[in-house]
Amino acid sequence: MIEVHQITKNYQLGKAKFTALSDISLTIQPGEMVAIQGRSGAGKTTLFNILGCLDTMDSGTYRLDGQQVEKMKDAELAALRCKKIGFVLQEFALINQQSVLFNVMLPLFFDKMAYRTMKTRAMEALHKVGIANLARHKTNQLSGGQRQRVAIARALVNYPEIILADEPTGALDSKTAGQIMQLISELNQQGMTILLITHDDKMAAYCQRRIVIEDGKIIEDQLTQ
Amino acid sequence: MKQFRLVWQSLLQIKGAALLLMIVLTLALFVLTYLIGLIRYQNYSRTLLEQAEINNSVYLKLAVDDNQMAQDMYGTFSAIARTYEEIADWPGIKEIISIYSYGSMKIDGINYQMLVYNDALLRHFSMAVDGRWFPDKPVSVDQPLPIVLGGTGFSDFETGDVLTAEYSRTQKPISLNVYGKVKYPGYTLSLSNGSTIILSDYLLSDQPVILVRDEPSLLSRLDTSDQVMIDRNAWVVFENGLSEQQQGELLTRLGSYGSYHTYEDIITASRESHIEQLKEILPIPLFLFFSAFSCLFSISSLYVMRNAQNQILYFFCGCSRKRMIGILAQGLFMIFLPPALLNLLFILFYPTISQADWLNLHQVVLDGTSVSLVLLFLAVLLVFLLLPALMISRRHTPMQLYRRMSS
Ligand SMILES: Nc1ncnc2c1ncn2[C@@H]1O[C@H](COP(=O)(O)OP(=O)(O)OP(=O)(O)O)[C@@H](O)[C@H]1O
Ligand SMILES: [Mg+2]
Repeated sequence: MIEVHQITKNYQLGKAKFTALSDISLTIQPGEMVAIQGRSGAGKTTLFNILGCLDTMDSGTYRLDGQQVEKMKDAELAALRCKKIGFVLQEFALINQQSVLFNVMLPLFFDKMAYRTMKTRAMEALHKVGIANLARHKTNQLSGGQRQRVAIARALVNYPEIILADEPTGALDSKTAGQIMQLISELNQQGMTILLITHDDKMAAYCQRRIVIEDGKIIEDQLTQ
Repeated sequence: MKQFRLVWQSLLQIKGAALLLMIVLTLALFVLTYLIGLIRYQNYSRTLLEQAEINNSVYLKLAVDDNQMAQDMYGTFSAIARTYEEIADWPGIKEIISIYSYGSMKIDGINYQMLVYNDALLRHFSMAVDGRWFPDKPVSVDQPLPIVLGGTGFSDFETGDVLTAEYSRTQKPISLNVYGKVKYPGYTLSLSNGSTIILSDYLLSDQPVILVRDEPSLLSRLDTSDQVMIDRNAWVVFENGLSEQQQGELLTRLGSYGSYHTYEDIITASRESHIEQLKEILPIPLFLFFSAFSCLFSISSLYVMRNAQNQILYFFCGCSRKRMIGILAQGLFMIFLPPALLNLLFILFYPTISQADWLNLHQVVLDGTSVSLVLLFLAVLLVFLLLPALMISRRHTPMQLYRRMSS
């Protein structure tokens, strides 16, 4: 469960201070699939980074499954990312010179796990996203949709509770985007919590809840189905 | 072990540059090693002289008529020996340190000069040996002749060995017992230098020589005449506590036999010359190092930049910031490893190699101390090369970098 309370995040722009998020409070239950929307510059990615334990906040509290995230150090945050959160990004999500399998195994490198087990786990994740046959391919030989499937497999590989996706379909044509959203919905149906940042209302329609951010504040938060 | 795959991945980003880095580093390390070896030889030679306890002495270069030498070699040699015996008897003279020889020994087809070490020579110039400098009491004539091996080129023989050699004058076999072997770097005192400038560097030789002790039975044991060969130069040691005037008189008197350099002058000249030499040669290695450093620094910056994208990805996947730096550091370490190993192996085996005379750089001392210095240099270099990564990671969080790179 994600519980954030009165989160504020400022960026330093030269001497001026820019408030990217102010007073965000939010609870996301396990198993929810939430779309985060808003104009460009609204603060979506900033929120994504904080929820993903990738960046620090200036004030407020964040509890992830009861753990107090705002007090954690670099190494603890890293462990949390490794174990509980899977990321799907729009850009440079993959190591191009490496095989699909290696890319999917990546999170497991930062967990205590034998290399053999890592391979088995990665193959399992590739089966889930339907591209086990591509395991030995280099990622730069793949299509956009296949690449995003690799990214999703990588997000899945360590059995995380939450998947955070920032514009996962931004670079895909609408048909492929639909297939990827279908896949993400299936994961949600299997019980995974999904947070999806998207500009595209069609993609947001896959989610049960929609949060809209403007100028660093939540201006809308409602169930859609 | 699995982290090694990530380290390897980081190196793949700069394949060609990494190779170049290895080559540059290998060269730089060898230049450094040579430089260290040279400086250490200079200090070594000076220290030996300083520790010889001959503060009150002069290096006398006896004037010898070379024509006469050509006509009657042994006659001239014995005249030189006689002159030194006379000088030794002068009031105010404590002893003469000279080196003489009764020919050479042939072992396995190779001729080695045999030098006779008398008490004075042993007292002041017995270098560190494996084994010992001769037995305490003379051994009986039917026992093998005790010898000490000096210089390089004796890798086949060890302390305790009994060898059979052919003595050059009688061409008869003679049995030798190796009592000691001069330790690396293996140099022994040399008095053959008669040039106008005398420096500590040239008062040592790494020529392979067989050293025997001067004792009454030596000539009969060798079964030879007293036809001696002797260096025309020698250390003339004064008695302690001579007045200025007495010393002055002795020096004037010695001056009529040839030219001389006082011990102090030699030490001072050596020190000055060593500094001069360094000043002369240092610009080249410094320039090399400077170029190497800038090359290394730009490659390490390239390394950090090329890896930034993957590093951010690692960060997303649960890699801590510390570990990110760790992976880069290990990558650099991997690049360092082959040149460092090559260099260290060379240094470690150099004493053996030079003792066996396969490769001898001459007037260079390379041993364990050089290893520590090279390792120290590498550690400093590693930190220096990590600076770009450390600087970037201090100034920007991974997410700031990510934002920058994706826009
Ligand atoms: N590291 C930073 N330094 C300074 N300003 C920043 C930084 N990161 C974000 N901002 C600013 O904070 C605001 C919110 O940025 P954010 O990336 O969260 O927007 P977004 O909603 O994700 O926009 P987009 O839809 O374009 O991705 C923007 O005005 C942005 O310029
Ligand atoms: Mg964004």
